[in-house]
Amino acid sequence: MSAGWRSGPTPYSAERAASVARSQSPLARRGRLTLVLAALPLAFVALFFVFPLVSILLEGLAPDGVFDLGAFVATLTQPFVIETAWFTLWQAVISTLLTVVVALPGAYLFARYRFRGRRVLWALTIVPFVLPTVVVGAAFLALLGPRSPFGLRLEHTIWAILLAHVFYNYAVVLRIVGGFWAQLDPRLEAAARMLGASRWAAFRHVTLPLLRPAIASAASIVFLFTFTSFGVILLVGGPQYATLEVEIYRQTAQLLDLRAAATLALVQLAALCALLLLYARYQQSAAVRGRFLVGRWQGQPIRTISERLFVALNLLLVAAVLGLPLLVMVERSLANDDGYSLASYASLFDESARGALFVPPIEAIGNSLVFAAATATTCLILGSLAAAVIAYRRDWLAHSFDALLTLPLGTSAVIIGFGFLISLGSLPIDLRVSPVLIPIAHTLVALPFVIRATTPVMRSVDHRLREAAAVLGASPSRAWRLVDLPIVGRALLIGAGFAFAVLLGEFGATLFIVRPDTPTMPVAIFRLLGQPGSLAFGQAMAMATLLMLLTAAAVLVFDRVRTPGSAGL
Amino acid sequence: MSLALDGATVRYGATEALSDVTFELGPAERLAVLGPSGSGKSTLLRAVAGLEPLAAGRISWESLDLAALPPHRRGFGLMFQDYALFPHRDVRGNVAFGLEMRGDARRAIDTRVAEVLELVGLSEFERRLPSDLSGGEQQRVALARALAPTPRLLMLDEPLGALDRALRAELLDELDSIFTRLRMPIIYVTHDQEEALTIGDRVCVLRAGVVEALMPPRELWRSPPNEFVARFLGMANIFVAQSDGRVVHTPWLDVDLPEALAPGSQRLLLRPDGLVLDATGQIHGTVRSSSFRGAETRLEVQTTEPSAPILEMIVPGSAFPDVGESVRLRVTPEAIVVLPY
Repeated sequence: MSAGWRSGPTPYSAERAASVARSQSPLARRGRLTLVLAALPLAFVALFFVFPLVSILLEGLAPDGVFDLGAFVATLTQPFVIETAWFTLWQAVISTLLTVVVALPGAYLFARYRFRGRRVLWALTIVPFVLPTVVVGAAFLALLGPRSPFGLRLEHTIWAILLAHVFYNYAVVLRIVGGFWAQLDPRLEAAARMLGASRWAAFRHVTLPLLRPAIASAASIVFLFTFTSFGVILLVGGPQYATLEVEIYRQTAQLLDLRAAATLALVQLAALCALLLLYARYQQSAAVRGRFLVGRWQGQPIRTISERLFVALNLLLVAAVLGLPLLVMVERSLANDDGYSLASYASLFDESARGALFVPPIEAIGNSLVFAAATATTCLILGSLAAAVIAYRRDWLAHSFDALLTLPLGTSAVIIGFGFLISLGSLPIDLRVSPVLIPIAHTLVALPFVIRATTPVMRSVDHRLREAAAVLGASPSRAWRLVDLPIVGRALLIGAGFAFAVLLGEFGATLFIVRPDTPTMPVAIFRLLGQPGSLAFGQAMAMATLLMLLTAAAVLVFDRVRTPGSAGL
Repeated sequence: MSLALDGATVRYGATEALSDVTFELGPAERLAVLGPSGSGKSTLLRAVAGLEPLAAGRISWESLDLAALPPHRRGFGLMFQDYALFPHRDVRGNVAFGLEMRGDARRAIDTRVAEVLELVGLSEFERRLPSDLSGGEQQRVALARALAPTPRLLMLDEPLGALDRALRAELLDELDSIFTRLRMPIIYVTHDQEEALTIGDRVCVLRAGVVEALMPPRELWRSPPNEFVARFLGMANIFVAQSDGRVVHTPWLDVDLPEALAPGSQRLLLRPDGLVLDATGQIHGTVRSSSFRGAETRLEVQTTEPSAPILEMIVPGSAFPDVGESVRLRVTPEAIVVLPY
């Protein structure tokens, strides 16, 4: 803007125009409108999250309508509850430690070295993380199970569980620690070397202390994921291993002991609350210590023989941990008694080969796509309403609204599914017989993500753009439609798109509420894997491969159109 | 002789960051390495430190090849650009690091830390974190940290680069006096000619990894060996002249040189100190611009002859002609340097 333009005579000053536009920014002064907008998401969360959660609480603490703490404690102190809690804890600890140890060299590799294919590999390492748990379970059964091409028999052992958890969470440690490491000044380590520290001493005394916040942050996320691990344990662990989540499912679906399930759910909820609180506190204290970062560094080329060896071994490890299970799964989906064919894929269409399902397996693909699309649509509507309230109305009400909508993120899908099961029967319309329940559960899981992705974009729209439109004669609502909507709409679409991709593979909540005649792909894979015989196994492998491709394609598509300003999922 | 480089070469992929560098360092000699950014100065230090492998050539200490010796066994001190202080350790923790790595006893560490902090004038700062220090204080801590384990060679990478001008002048004097007390071989890397000329017993000028000059500072200033070095030292009066033995001719200048010169076309440098304002001077011109720097003033003079260059000169004091004023200049023949053509 030139000085001449600024000093020229204008009907009203720029400051005044700005203040008018800002005070009239959408919803800013319209309390009632905000309440109307908030009503729909609020009702949704109240009915489908708060109500089921209260039902679990009552089922656990007051099963017969009378508050009975003694009975709760009696259930709580049963040996199987304590054993399950203990197993959940220690497998999560070991999984986390193992993942950190395995991923740390990889993080170093990507942070410090420049090599051909680095960017592609970095992008590929995220693939396992976005895969549905059922696909991961299927891949590890293919690699370690009775039909392993290598004759490995590790299924139903703790090793299979730990390996699958490393596979799943490798990218978390790699991304968080590697990204942080790349920002760390490499001269700090060189300085230590010049002061007489060996490579190891320099790592121990300088690099490791500086990496600690990143490692702790990554480890807590991995811990959270493995603590709530459901699909992987159910598929790979076999009957003798159960985390709290798996036990909730077994008590509900197999033993029909809702009370025990509710008690377990309460234990799980309490543990999750404690974990999230600890994590939030740690994040706060770690943020203060983050100031030693320096500018970006490009990484060094690989020159000496030992460097070459380190890089080669590391890439081999990455390929073995991340690539092998998926490759074997695809291979198994194509293998039959005499060579390779598409027979398993063809049998998915076969009416007579439905096995454990009530419908031809191929219908599961259609179901999944329809459910995911329905979920994405609901997320789009509820998400835009909620994000508008949170972004434009920055008071305590908006904050608590934000917190309420984020809560489902802190519980787990299994608990949401279980809550539906025990609560929604008491509604006037029994939704439990309706397939609508699945998109509703999925919306609860995805909505926090969509809001998280949209709110910052909504806030970030430069208010001067709106002011410019106002000065040019647009009414506030028109200015919003012409300026904000195109920018925000993109973020919303991408958020909903990611929801679509992720929910194709949702398993925990779905398993509780799915109708036998409308299985989703993950449920179909789970059922097929529970069947004996090579036909069902081949079908499961084929279906898992299709689900993997579908998820990867959806993630890649939405990753491509991602706006630079939006927060990723 | 302490350190010796013989054809040292460092490659990053296809590019040579350091090409065929050869020099020897005396037992208490200070070598200033001067060059623009990207000239390979830091690479030279990193190669000597052992942080960068050589693609060819050799680096030795008292005739012993260092190739197989990892950085932490070389016993060299390196002070990094921007200091690279450990952010998670306080001043004492930083300075004590090298002594701890050596396995010194706590008592000995305390004594030595106090000693070097005293040397750099930061005795009261032991418990402070690097992030709480000013730039100048960080610089001193970095120096103390490098000196604490009594290295046999001290290397400094742009030690004053991040500081403001006034602080630089002050710390430059301080470094000079500390170095004089230390009596150890020192390699001092800088892009600032003033620092290089002040600190160095010899100055090594680098350009794209190649040594362009290696000589004592006064000699370097008096007769820069080529145009790059001359321009890097801030000398811009470079022109072509015809020589007939002793006298060189240009359309705007005829000078009788003190030493004989091959006849024919020659490329000459006229140092800025070789031009003097003089009412009887041979060169006529107009002041094109002046930049007043306190004790001296830098003038650009447009000579009146067509095809004549713009000449740069330094006038002492504050009595200098205004822009646009006509002046006459006299040339000191001793300030003319013959450059390779």
